[in-house]
Amino acid sequence: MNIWDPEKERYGLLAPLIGTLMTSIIATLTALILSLSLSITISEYLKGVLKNALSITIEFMSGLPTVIYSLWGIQYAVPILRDHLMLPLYNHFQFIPLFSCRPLSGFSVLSAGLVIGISIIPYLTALIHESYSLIPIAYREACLGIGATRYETIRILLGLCKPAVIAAVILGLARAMGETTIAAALVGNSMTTSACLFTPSYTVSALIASQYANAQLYRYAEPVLYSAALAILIIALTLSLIGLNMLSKWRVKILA
Amino acid sequence: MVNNKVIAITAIAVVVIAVVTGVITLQTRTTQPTATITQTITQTVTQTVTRTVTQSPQTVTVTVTTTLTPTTPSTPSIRGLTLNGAGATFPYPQIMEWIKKFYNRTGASINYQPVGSGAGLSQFFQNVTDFACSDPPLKRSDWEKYRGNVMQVPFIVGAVVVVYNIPELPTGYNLKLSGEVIAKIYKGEIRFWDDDAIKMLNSDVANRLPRKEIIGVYRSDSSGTTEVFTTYLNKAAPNIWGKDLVGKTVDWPIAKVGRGVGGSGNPGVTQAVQATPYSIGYVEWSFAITNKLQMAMVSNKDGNYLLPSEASLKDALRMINMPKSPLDDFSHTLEEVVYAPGPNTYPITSPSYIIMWRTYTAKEKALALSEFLKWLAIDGYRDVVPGYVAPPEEVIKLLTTASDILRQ
Amino acid sequence: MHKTRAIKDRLFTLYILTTSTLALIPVLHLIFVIVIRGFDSFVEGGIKFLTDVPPTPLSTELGGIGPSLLGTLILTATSLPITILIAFFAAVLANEFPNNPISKTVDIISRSFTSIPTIVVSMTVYLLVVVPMRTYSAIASSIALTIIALPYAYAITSAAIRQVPLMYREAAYSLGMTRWTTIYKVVVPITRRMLSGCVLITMARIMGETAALMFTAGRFRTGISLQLDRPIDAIPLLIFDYALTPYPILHKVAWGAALLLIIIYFIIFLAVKTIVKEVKL
Repeated sequence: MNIWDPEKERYGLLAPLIGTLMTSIIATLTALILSLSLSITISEYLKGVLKNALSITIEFMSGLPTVIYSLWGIQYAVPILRDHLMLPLYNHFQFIPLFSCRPLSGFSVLSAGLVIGISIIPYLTALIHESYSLIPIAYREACLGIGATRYETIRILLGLCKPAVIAAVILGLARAMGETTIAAALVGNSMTTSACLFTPSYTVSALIASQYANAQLYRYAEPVLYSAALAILIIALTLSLIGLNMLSKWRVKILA
Repeated sequence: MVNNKVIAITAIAVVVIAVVTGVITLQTRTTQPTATITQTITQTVTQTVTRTVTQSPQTVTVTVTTTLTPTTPSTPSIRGLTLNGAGATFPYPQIMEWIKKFYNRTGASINYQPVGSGAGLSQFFQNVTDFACSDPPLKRSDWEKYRGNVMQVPFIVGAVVVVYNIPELPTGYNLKLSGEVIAKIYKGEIRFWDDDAIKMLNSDVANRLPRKEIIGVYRSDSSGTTEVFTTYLNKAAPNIWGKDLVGKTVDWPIAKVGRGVGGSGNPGVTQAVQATPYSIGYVEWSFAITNKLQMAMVSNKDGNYLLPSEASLKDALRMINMPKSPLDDFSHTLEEVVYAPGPNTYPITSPSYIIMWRTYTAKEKALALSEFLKWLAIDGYRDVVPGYVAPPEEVIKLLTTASDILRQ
Repeated sequence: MHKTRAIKDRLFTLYILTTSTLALIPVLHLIFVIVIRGFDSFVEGGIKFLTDVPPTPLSTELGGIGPSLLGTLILTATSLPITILIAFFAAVLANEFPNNPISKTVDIISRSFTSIPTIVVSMTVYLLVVVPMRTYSAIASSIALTIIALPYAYAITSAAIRQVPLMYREAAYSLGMTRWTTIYKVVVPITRRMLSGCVLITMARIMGETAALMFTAGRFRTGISLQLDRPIDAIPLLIFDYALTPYPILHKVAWGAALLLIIIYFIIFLAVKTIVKEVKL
């Protein structure tokens, strides 16, 4: 199941499939937590120049070529994450299966997931912020009218865009799954599956990036890679269709 | 608003100007080699003359073969031609130096993609590239399949070195590791650096070896370096490292126990070893030298522990029963050169092969390749990059023969 | 009761502001690092950094990224017009003739393809273009880039077209204009600024794409090549390759290239911002 041995024509795609799942979940979770806060900050806490500056910065970030994240990831993020996040977690929380293995080079599911997450923050923020500002002002006025604090208002408004946030998460998941450059550079390229986040693994796109060039040398390597690609393609397409659908339905509903 | 516009327009203007100047400079740059072209032509015309003047013992054989070559009176210009190659990362630093020199000399560019031996061969057989480089020669079955159409020349010799990253060890100290120990490490059977087996071989630093888990770095792509390295492990410790673990890609046992890290290409493995304390890896010698990695002394067939050196590589090369023509089968050479007998023989020596077709539909490709091989035979080995050794005399002959065959 | 609500509010504010800062730190660090290290490479390489060929792993002179820069320009110049043209017609089709089944299919396909893994496009183009052509080429790379940029270009173009109020169209029809003349004479002029914004955004997307080029470009870094049927290189691909080597000199080149890429992107971004205010990237 977990094997890549083209010389003997034995293949198993468990590691890249699980790896893809794990990295994209980590990425989406990170991005979700951070971009929820960011979009609230933009719409609730900042005004005028600051607000503009932040939203322009985020807009700028959303178009940054992902290869820049992988360069930065290799040289800065991975060593920093290994020494200041993974090692402490390993030392103090070994009993949790997620942190139960010693971080090796730092190239791992966790690093790839976090850096991909950082790279999709602007995308998620844009989606969430847009939906959040679509909510008719009447709701806000109603909240303030009954004397709700800012926290309570935000909670109510966020509750209203819950479907939009879920849609954004689905879209983010689709994007994180397809990410290649960051994954190929940071995931560690190793055919291992483990519950531990510090193990190097593969994602489907990283597997293609590192194996497709030599796949034609072997009989079944290429078809195997194509089937992996097909799987990820179908998943990504389905997810983004679902996400887009949810988003447009919600828009119609909230604006009605 | 106005200000923004002005800024944007000036910025765009700056980029446009920079690009235009860039293109112009590049174009003027490419015209430079014309001067050297005439040089090459005059050189080929007066070849025999210059040969006799600068006759050094090494070029004697060259003179013989060049007189055999019925060179056309004026070498057709290959300026502006491009050759596309892909393959091993093993000879990459050397090839890049050659490409630069060859371009300055002739104006012909060679585009080499260091993607690994497997990928190189794969693309070569798909006709996407013009030549491939691979550390092991073609397998006998592949050679049979393309027999008579495919040529191979072992054009540079290197060594696989075992490198490690143990901060506790003094710089300049080289651990001694036997094939058996390395095999056990990659099998996952030796788990800590202070294992008794390692201590026994290195009694002088036994107390400095840390009780840290060994992390094994291996190649994640289809790699000739892996094939050479695993061949060594199999020959040195057949009971531990079975035949099923030999090849361009291996199902690494150490990865199964969660202590393996994959790296893409020799560069990737080097980087992983650098970045990972307490790791062990295998790379081409030159990568260890330029990146200042700690190298292990490995045991050879006679039981001596050695670092690679020009002499110890050449000793290993003597064991190769070199075929007489580039069209012959070379597949036996890997077995002959790895773990070869001799007291001073470096056990993981390997030539790297350039693999090309006998004929090309595009005549200019054949011409450019032929010129490159000829240039290699005459000039290529004057200054070999540290970490490689020039191939023996017979190979120079093979290069000229291949060059001639391409001209037919 | 009132007190706990106030405390909750405070804590929430604290949480939101800390996580927001946390979200910004990595990106600010990234940009800071690229500017610092890229600037070093610029200074060391001088103007030749833009024109020279990259160094060999062992050389001491920095060289430059000439072939990759030229390659990026060529690839952008070839794939951008095609992308924009197709995207524009697709967007017009989908928005002006919305009840046509073809339009609906086009719309759904383009929308969902925005997040397809780009490496899949690269491997498909390798099989369908590179292998039959028997060489890596600028053509293959352009095709891959076009496929990837199309959904983006489509999404923003159709957003632009959708902004034209129906009234204008009705007015044009009542003057006896056909649908296509309406598009040409009314819709395009109104959305002109936004459409040029779309062009620029698509351009940024094309210039920054890496994975699409992995199996199509052929990494030609030893000179300049203006031929489209020959291997080519691009800045993102160079950054990716060099980032994965252990050689400090190649890292330097990669940082310089990254800074250049960011500068180009920044200029495009500025231009977009000055031309249109409300287009979303």
